[in-house]
Amino acid sequence: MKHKFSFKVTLWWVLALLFLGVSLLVFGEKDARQSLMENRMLAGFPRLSLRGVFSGDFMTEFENYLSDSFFSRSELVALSEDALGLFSRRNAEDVITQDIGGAIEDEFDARSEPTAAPDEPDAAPAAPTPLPAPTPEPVKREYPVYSERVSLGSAVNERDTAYTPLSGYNFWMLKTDGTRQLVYDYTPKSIETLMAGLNAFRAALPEDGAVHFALVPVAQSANWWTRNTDKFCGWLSNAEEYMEALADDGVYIYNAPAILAEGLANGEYLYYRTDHHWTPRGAYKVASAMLQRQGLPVTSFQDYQYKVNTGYLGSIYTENPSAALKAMADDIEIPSSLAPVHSYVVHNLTASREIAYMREDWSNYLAYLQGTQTPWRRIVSGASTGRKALVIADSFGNCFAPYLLPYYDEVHMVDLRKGNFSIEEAGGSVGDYMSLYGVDDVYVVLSTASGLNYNFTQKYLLQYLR
Amino acid sequence: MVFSSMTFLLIFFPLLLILYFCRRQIAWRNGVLLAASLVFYGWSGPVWLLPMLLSTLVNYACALKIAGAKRKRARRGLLAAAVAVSLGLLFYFKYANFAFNAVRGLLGLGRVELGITLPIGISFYTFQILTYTVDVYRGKCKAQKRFGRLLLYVSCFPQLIAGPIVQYSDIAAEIGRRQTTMEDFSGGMRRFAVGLGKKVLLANICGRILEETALAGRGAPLSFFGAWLSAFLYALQLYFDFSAYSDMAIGIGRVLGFHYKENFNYPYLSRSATEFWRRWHISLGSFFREYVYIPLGGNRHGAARTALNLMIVWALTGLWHGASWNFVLWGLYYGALLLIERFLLRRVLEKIPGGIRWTATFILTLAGWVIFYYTDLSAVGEHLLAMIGLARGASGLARAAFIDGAALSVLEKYTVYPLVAFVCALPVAPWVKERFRGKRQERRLNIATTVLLTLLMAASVVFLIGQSYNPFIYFRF
Repeated sequence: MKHKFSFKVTLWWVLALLFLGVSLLVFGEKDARQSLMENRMLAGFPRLSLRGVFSGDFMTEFENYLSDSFFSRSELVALSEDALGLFSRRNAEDVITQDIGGAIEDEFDARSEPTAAPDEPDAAPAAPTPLPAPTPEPVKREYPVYSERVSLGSAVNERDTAYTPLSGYNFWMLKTDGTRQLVYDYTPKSIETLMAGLNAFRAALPEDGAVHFALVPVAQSANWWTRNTDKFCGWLSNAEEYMEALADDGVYIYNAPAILAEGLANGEYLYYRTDHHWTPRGAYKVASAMLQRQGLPVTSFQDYQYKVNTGYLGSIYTENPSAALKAMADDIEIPSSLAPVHSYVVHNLTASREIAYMREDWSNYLAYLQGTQTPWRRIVSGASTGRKALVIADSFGNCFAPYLLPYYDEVHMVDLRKGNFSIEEAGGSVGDYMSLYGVDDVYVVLSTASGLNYNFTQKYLLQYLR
Repeated sequence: MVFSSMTFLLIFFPLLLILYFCRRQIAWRNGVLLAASLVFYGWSGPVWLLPMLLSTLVNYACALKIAGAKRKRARRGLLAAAVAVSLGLLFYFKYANFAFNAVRGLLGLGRVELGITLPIGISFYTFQILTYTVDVYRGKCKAQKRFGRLLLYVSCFPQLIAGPIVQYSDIAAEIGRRQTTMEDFSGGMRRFAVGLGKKVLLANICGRILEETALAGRGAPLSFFGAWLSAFLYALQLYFDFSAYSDMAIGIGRVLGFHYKENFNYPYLSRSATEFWRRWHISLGSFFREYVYIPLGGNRHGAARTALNLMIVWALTGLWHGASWNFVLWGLYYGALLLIERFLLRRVLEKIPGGIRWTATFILTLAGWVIFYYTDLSAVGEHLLAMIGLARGASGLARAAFIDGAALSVLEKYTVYPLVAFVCALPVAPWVKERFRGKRQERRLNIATTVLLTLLMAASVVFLIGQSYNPFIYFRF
């Protein structure tokens, strides 16, 4: 009797596992798609080839596919994280202000990661003030090399001072006592490499074309300031000054921290609380600054109709789930288009498939343009201006691009992060694509998580242009 | 393929069981199991089947000849040939790069990578096949005439790539004749569920927490507390990871009708290094004792020779774990500890209270795992210094910080999880079982255990979905 019961139950285990496996193979999603929660592409069913089998690649991809296509995957992943979160004593404030979102973007490289640094004296108070002109020579410094998540506000240790520069190209938090705290440290070389890429893009555009660039802080940095106003009164970035100094004609640099600062100080909803992205309100501010600089009349934020979906729990929540953070759930405000819009995913330069422009029924960040689509996305705006734009961006671009639509006949998008772009799938380089579609202007909008020292700007930007 | 993968859990294993049990004949079951084992091993690249097939073929031929040879010299020559081919393959794949660069280092030349890929499990199956040939040579078992059966012994997937090291003589009879009772099936499946839970819910999560702590060589300096915390987490990860694999191997083996010996016996209860090695990776200890230590002379030639034999065995044990100096150092560290216990502290140890002995042993074990963790010996030094509260600074040794930000963050985020995990490394299940005596009580316990294990299995699958590729640590050995 004793063994019979155990036998029956364990036999059911085997049958249940087999049923699950067969169901996944038959009914599982076969196409690759994006997981907002994990901020990565989920694997599609791998292509079977002899070469793939002999190299073992097929088996690895098949394993990824089975795991990624699991039914209710997001809910189950969230459930397991929730279970682990039961051990956590961190409160919601700790979580939304201390974890920098860099680690959840791909290739969180060591060089420009956030550094818990000693306060620097003589910093600007609330209003940004000009800083001493940075020296363009590369500065030899020792940087920590580790890839795991780091926490802002963690204990400062002796060794930090060794590699924390007291001058250079940085992003700081401004403190109420008049000092400032270093968040990001950029090397001159990384800025020079970026600018070489942007200038090369400008050279590939028509004479009246322009390149617009903005580096946008992630939500954790904003939360760090706005939720600790007793300690912090603003933020400041001077990397843009050096970028401007290196920019060719027709390359425009925007200081996103400065653009967003006033709104944040006034408590505007420019960033999510539970997710590392900006909101459409934040994206609109930077887009407006870019359009104004070109002398274009900017459509007001309210002119777009918004569908508001509540209860969004984003990446910050997923990484550190807690009831307190759940109570801070965000709203997803999805802007409508001002004219009938058609959105396409493009492969091999020209092969396109139409998809929904926005997912108004979704209450997560993927609702914007239906998430990052690879390798290319083409949005036909319904406007008639005779100009076309290409937005080169990470996921921050999905909130940003909609505000360019009234000013361009077509807005194209590409995300050069590793795993999102390959020449084979794209059918050609970014330069080929720009020539084919007649792109006039390029917008490069990146979060600090995909910042200056990542493959995106240091390698792929130039590599994929040609 | 790994046991804790969706492919194995949802497709390979259930399909294998259906095929395996659909007929009773041993030839059918052996055939299914052999085919499944070759698919299992060749899953990450069929080319890696070749070294295993070659090693098996050579040992098969040599053992047959040994069994037939009458002259001792011929038998010895055949054994030497089989050992040379098996160890030669192991040396080429595992140690050639290490030896080549060690020689280059001695000559003052820079490091050059030979680019040789290590086939997974080669250390395990090489030792297994050697137990067969040596046992045939010793007359402990008969030579296997059917190549398929010998190949099944070597390639049998439950224990193929991460042990336990199953000696041929232990399962020779079961290869030719075995059956699975209802108790074997349910007991094996339950053991498998325990192993899966250990791997997914304990080992992987301890590993994840470990990655969030500061470790030597990553830029941030280690604090005193952080150094102990990370060593503790690694000790837990390593134990749960490896014992989980053994649990799953033993469980699957039992479902298929094989009865493997235990490989772990709550090693963190040990009160001496000697006891630790009686409880940790038991099958490896048995192998080295029977096939290296005793042939070297064991303890039969005086204290000095015994000490030398022990150090040789422990250096080899270290080297078996990996082609790196830290593994050699780790082996010698244990060799030294065992020698000290054997020759200097034998009588003293008996008088020391058990709690103190346990504490000292656990601390020494953690220090050993630090040596085991880092292939960079300077990182080993940095970590061990931090464990005694020191840090290497620009102007010599300085006091290490008591706690660092990463350790604080881990404490906030995971609070008592490491302690809960540690309790799971203790014999809780036998303790509970002890308290449920009598038929009725046992039945209740059985129902409760089955329900609990069903939940554990479900939880393991749920956690597995969110975890990316998670190979077992002992694969690399």
